[in-house]
Amino acid sequence: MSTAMLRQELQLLRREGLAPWALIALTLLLVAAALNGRALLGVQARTAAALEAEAAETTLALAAQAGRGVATAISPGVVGYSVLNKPVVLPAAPLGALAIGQAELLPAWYPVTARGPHHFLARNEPDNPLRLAVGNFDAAFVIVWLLPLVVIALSFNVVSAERERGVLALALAAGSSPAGFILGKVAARALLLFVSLWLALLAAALAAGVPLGRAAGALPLLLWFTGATLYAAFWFALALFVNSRPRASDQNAGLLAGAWLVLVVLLPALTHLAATTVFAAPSRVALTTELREASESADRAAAAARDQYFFDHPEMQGGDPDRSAYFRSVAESELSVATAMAPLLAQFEVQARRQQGLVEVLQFLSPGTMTWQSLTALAGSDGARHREFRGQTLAFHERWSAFFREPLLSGATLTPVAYAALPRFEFDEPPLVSTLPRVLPALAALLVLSLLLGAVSVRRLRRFPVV
Amino acid sequence: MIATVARKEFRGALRDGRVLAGACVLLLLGLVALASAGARYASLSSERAVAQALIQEQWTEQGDKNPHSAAHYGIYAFRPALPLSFFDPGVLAYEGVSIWLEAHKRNFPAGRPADDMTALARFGELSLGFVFQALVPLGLLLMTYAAFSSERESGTLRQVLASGVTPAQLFAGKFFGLGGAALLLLAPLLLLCLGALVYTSGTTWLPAALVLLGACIVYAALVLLLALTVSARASSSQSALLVLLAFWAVVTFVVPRIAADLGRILQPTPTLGEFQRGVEADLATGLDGESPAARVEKRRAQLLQLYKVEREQDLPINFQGIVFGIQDEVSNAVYDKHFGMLERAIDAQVDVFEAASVLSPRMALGVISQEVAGTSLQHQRYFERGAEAFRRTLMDILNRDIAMNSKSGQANYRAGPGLWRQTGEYRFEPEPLSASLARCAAPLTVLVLWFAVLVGASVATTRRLQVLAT
Repeated sequence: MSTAMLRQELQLLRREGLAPWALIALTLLLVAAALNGRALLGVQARTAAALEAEAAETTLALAAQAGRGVATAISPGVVGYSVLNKPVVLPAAPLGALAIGQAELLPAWYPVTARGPHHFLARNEPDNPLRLAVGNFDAAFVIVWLLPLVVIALSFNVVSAERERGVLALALAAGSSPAGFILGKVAARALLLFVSLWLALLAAALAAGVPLGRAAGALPLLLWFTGATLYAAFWFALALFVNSRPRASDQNAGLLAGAWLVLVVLLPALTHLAATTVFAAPSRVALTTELREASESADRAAAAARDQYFFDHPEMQGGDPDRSAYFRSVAESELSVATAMAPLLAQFEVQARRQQGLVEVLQFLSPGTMTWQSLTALAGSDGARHREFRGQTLAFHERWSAFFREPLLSGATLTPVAYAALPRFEFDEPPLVSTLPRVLPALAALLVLSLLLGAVSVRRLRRFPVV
Repeated sequence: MIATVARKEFRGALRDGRVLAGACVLLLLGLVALASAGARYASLSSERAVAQALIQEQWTEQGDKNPHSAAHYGIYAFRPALPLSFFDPGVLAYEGVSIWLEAHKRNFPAGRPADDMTALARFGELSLGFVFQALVPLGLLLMTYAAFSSERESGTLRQVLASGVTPAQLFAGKFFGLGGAALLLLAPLLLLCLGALVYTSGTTWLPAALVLLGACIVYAALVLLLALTVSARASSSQSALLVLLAFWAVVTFVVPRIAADLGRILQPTPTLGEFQRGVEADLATGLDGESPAARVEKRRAQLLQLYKVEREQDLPINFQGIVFGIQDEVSNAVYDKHFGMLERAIDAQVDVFEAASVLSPRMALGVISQEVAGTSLQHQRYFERGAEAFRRTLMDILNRDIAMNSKSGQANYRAGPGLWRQTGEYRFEPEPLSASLARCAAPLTVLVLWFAVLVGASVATTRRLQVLAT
């Protein structure tokens, strides 16, 4: 394709009006979506920071009180099982604001105490369920749902319109080959869209606060660019494929719209349905009743201490009675309940992994699913990063719980030195390389699909009837 | 003349292979959605009924205990699955299904199904509601976009109008003919859905289902009107199709998401930390400036004076039961305040969403659908309030038992199964249809407005119908 032809094609696109407006709309939508994602995740970050500051302040105050021998502050039972909440926080992922995914649904922090993990694992932030059900307006949504529509608008009639207007016959009479002429038109559109998309994505990344100067932000963003570009390339290839048969423009538009519906709306929904049906999550309702059974049997042993404690309600009455017997009973029953619940809670984890495994296989049915899975995986919002966080939290909880349980059972007290030695939590971010197995196969499949469709289309175009 | 045109369009649509293929695809998707939702409904329904019975059994068989220990043991309220949730699951996946009803605290519902779903759930779920509210309108657009434009392009429009039929008659004929064909093609799925509903839950929910069906038909008619109007005005079939597809994608997917997130930005939801801090602060000080401890002291003095005794132990009642009652009075008021603030914040977000439905009749239909199916946010609130009312009654009974049947300082007082049975059983009664419909005034107005505007636009279009292709 010559530069002159490219220039001419770009001029035509500019004059048609649709292309500039579609690309401006795409850019604005991407930037607005990124700002929206940043605003939504900003609330999580501010909440986490406030909680950490509050917990640090409480710990300092308790340490000071312990130095003065205040009974509540030196009691490992009161502090570990009643007073001190350790907010264990999942920091925002560098690309988090670009794809909200599961990040708003799954907790970004857990209030860990010495009590069993069932107390904190099931907590949710209060939110508007209608908003959660509708889904987020984020950059991943714009890419996966709306970008194909822009590509379709730019290319649904790339051949058919030329044929309907008789331009194709004229061009061929002037010596162009059908495939060369048509590929030139598609290439001009693709080039225009890719450049606009990259600029829009860069603007969106800046708006979302992606740390471009750090490898943790720049490398996944580069893969994001690649994913979005390959996805757009797939839709161009599909448009070319549809155009490579002699049909009317509106028929092409209908076919491409149908393909969008199937690949972007229906197949992902059916994939989700298959994953949650084949590997249905264990029942939360059954978990509730099991938890109650376990709590009840553990509590029976401690019934007398409980009765006295709840009847006195020392925390509501003031004063400073000895509560160690009560908290020892709590520690024992919490351990017993946690032991009983561990296999049940693990079942959720097992099913979640199986669901994810099935989705990773079925994703190859739809470029929409592949792109969504890749973009959310790179943004850390596909659920895998949260599962890692949950695992690290449970490991931390073991240490935190033991820190209080052991002195409680041995009769020791907390000192300022002990407060200084409280276990600390810092999320150990999985390296990008651990995400690549979930991303690269999908990107490779997009590339192969695009090339295949392109190759078949070119072959068909060589025999394309001009009139 | 309208009937003649309608008959011709009706037959033409039923003979069109693409229309039949599209209807088969919709039917298949509807069957998949119906089968999966039906199985889920049956399993959830029995599971929650069994769990509620089990929890009640655990409560009555908890053995002899101090009633306040029993109050801390508490009970659970499960939200039963309602029959029409198989049509429109609404917000159910994003709300907890059970609430722990315990002493002194109003807990949030727990066990949100969405927490156990894959990230693809955020992509959208295939439900019957989605089939009827998003896919059927798309099918109608694809069936209708060329109704006028292709006749204009081929020159038949000129011939038809020359035969004496007016543009308005032609428009009405196409509307009724194509609408009738669509209705006929979807009839098997509709009848199957209604049959499944009656089979699983009798006729109790049939009126609600018919209202829902009516709303979907009104929306479909609105889409048909829009498609015919655009087709009549568009310069070509191609531009008619592009405009209609863009409209469909925007009103179905884009506007709802933007509106939902905009609501949250304009009126943020309080975080759990803020909520808890607010509750703790108010519990410590009391809402009216009188701390719970001061209230207790005041009541103690009143009772000592009333019974003319000087020591709490000499009272004929157990003062601790009164203390629990005071603590519950305070905490109930505090929770009412903070849950009220939370609900108002979410209501403000929903208001933004509903206001945006002026731009998207699909959103208005979604609101009506969730309300009528019993899967809306308000239905969840109804469940939560019912459970909370039960909790308060339960605590009152337990506190009164301590006060009336034991003496102050009698920490070893025990109650037994008689009291546990006396507290009654939590039962969920769904809201009547009239209450749900009362909340649909705004979305119904939106649908009526859209209908009126489109009727006006179609009349204007038929008056200036362009006969020849440009």
